[in-house]
Amino acid sequence: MTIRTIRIAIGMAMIAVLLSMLGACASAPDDGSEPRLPVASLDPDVYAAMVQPVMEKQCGTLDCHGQLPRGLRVYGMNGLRLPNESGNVPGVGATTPAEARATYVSIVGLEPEKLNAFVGVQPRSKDDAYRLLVLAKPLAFERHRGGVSFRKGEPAEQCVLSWVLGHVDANACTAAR
Amino acid sequence: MAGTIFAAPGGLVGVEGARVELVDSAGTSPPPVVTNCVGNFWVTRGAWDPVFPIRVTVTKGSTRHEMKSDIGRAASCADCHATAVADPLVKTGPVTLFETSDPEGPPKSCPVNPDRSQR
Repeated sequence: MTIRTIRIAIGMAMIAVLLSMLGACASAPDDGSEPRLPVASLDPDVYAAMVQPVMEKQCGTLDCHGQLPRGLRVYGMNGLRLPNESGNVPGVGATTPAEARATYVSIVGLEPEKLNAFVGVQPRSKDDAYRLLVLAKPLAFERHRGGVSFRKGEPAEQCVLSWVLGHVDANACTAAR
Repeated sequence: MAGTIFAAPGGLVGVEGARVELVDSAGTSPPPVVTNCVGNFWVTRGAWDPVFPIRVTVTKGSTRHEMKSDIGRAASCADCHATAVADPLVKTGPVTLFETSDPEGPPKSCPVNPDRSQR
């Protein structure tokens, strides 16, 4: 066997190993599940209709969560805008469904594992709800640079709390707009 | 708290004598705040230590504008209102009070040009 033949054999063996590794990466997990992080099933339509205006008013100013670098981003008519072709800028143009959806995605994306565990327990408990950042931060149970944004019992807090608990308080949400 | 009130979009002429009313979430307000001849106003923390959020209204003559949203945490208007907006989706333009210009005209006895674009 010549040296050239040995080199070709080694090269072909390496290619075979690489191809087998790629195949392993592309295969499904052993349990057959989708390899992605689940997202909590809080109602996005109820969010858009009832809760979004409250989040915009309470949290979405340009100096608070109406900023791209924030972990929680709140899009809306008087704050951060999504790229658009309608000429919408802060203060001009109503909040779009896409902006409500983007805010919803930001909320459920804050701590998806914890939120998913929360909604998986029935009935959902207020005590657990208050441990979620979307409530713990504005209530200042956790350190919040913006200070106290919600107070227990006030409409804005009742609106968001009732939504995460799965039975939105429409009156509270309307009062908090 | 500090900021600048400009006359109208498209220019950077400060408005003199505009009354800036601030009310914090505790219901308190600072002593009367009026813009100087270049449109600037400020309230020192010693004079007023507000509890955010704050609502703000600016008035001169019969023109009165209330800001559409609350001030969440910024002590400077320029944190959100920029004179040169690089990305119009994330910042907004200067605070302006009138549609076209101040009906009283620009300040006449200001030691400096109240038109910031000329300075």
